[in-house]
Amino acid sequence: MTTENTTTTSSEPKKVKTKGPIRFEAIIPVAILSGLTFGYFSLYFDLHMKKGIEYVATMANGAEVNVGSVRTSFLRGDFNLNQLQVTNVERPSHNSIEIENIHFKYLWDALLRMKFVVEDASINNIQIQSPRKSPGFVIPPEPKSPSKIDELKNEIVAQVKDKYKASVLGDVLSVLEGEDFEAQIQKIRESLKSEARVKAMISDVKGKEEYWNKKIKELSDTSKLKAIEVEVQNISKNKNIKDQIEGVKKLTDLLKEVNTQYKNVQTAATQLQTEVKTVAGYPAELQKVINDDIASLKGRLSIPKIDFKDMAMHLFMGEFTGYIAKARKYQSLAEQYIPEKKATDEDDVIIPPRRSEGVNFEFPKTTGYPAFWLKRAGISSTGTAESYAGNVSGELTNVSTAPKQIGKPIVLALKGDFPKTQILGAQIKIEADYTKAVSRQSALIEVQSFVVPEKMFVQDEKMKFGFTNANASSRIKAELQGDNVQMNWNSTIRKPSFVVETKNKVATEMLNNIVNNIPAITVDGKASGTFKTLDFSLTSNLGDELGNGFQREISAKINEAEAKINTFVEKKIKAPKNQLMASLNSNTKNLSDLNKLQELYKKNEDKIKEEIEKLKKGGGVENLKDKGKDLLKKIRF
Amino acid sequence: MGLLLKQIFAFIKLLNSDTGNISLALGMTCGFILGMTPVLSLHCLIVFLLLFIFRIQIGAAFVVAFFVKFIAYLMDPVFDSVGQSVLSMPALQSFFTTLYNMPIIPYTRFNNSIVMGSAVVTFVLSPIIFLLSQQFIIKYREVIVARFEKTKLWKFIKATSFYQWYYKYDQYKWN
Repeated sequence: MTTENTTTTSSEPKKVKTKGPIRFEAIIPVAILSGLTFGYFSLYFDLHMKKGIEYVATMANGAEVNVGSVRTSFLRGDFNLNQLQVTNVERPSHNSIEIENIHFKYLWDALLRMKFVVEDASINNIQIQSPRKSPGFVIPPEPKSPSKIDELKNEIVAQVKDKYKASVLGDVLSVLEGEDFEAQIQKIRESLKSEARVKAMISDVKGKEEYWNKKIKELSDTSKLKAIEVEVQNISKNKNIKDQIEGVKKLTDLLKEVNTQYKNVQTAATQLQTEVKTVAGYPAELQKVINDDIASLKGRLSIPKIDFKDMAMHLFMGEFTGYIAKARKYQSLAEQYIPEKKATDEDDVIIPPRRSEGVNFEFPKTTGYPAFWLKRAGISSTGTAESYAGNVSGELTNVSTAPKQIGKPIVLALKGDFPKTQILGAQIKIEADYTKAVSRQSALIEVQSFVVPEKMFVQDEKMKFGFTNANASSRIKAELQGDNVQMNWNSTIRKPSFVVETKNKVATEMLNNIVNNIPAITVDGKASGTFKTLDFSLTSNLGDELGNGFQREISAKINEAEAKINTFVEKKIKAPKNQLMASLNSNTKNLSDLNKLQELYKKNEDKIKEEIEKLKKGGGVENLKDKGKDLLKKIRF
Repeated sequence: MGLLLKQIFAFIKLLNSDTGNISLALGMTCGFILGMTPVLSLHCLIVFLLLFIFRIQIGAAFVVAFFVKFIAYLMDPVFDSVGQSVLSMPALQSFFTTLYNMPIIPYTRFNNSIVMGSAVVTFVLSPIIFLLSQQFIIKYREVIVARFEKTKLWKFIKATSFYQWYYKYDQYKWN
């Protein structure tokens, strides 16, 4: 039976195995692929992420950044980063910051919406300036064109760059040292404008003098006048009527001649008068050129115009401007990344269907998340006197890509001490509010005590002035709203060990006297206005004390230097100026001579006229006519 | 055009084959859903997943989806009107608000009138479509295929060596 059945079965066509409802042949490869993906994320993803973070952070920092390990879990939605070390670019043997652990826990509800919301995060055990096991690699700086951020910073720095600088102390020292101004003046003597001008004036006046001397000599030739005088006398003595008639005619011709001569003298006098008037302005013009020369020399000799009221500004403005520039930099960086784009919320809007658009119904949003939202990050660290770790506690809240959506400002609040680096009573409170139309940021950074190992106001070949080993406290308060800024800086530097090194005894003594009476340096700075037009004010007791001390010493020195310049110029110009004045006097004399000559001609002209009149009346032409008429009447028939 | 013809021939071949009618009917129903509803929605992805996991005839689904798409264009105003009516029903507002604020669900685009309208219509009609498809396949095989196999022409073709060769090739290819 069994055999039969077997035979029957073997002769039948092979039965096709019925397949179940599940498509295993497709599911298994997908499952294998998923397994491989899971394996990659379990075994290698963390390692690759660690390398990625190290590379990106190193590029951003400009020096090596190391990450001990990275642990991520998709199922738990958390992220752990251990032993982050950021190399200090300027001091590669140390870390600028070292963090033992950073922990993020993402919200699954948000992850399902493709949003990254960190419900709770923690940053633990922060160390600053901790030594590295081996010096970190520093990326060589690449030559680059100024970035937009640099432009914003420069906009602020440029406002005080040339106005206030600590090198003013060097200028003060130069004056105190009483530099040999005369030697400097000798170097630039050829460029005195007044000297050249006075020479030109002398040459001009001399030329004019020669010309007028010659002209007056010509005009002063009185031989013709004398001949006329003789002629007039002869005519007036002559009793013969016929001769008298001829004499009148002759006198009339002589009168014309004298008149022509008189007009020549008059024209010459007018011309000379104009020229005398012109050259009379030379002394005033010369004085103006001399004054200009003195001003120019003062400028070239760099006689400092020091406003001692602003001494504090000169000393501390660079530092204060640096803080403002940093505030501007971080504000612009924050604005670049934090405020949401207008269409952020539209990310959720469903793409219109290809067929026809239909109507999208909007329902109230009760639960929505921005693309990134760090709700809270706790920052804590416990340090000891031996370790570089600080006793820090604080939190960072509501860092988001859509602050308007969450309606909360970003707040960073930190308090702590770093005993090893002697930074005590540090407090940071930064609030950045992007929930309104115009963003507003405020920052309060306060350190009650920190060590200032060295601060040099001036350090060059002439002078070394500053202090070492001081203990300071500082407070910076800033309010930024749009482009407007209001910033206050208050700092106290206690027990500074002043360093005063100059070659000048007076300066050294004076500076020592000033600084030895200063137990603490106080600085109070204020800046307000827009970033483009900031109104600065800065006061410091060090500035006031230095200012008052220098004021006394410097004023005398500056006056002395200015007097030297005046003397130099006067000395150089005096002789040609006198020569010019003599020539001018000579020209004035010429004018006087010419006037006398004019008078002489006038006198002669009048005399001739008088004679003609006399001849006309006493036996002149008219009388002769009358006599002729009478004679004709007598011989009438 | 070539691709379309290929799909049509493949579908006819499926109808003529021994493939289970339920598998084919399910495929046609899925195709109906895919064709009627806009492609870029989450429930379409779910239908694709069902096609991938379960032994549902994918070819049938694609051919039906392709032809149904033409009808769907004409049906859009109807879907729009149905969708608007459903989405604006006061009784469902809180439900829709909850859905709107849930994770993943908004990717179904349920708040769009055409998506909602087409989904409602297709899901209501899909059991009917399934039953009709199944009946159509059974009837087709019983009436048309059986009658065709009895024709002299088919018997002649079946007797040719070319058919024998093709039959063997086909068996080899598919087994």
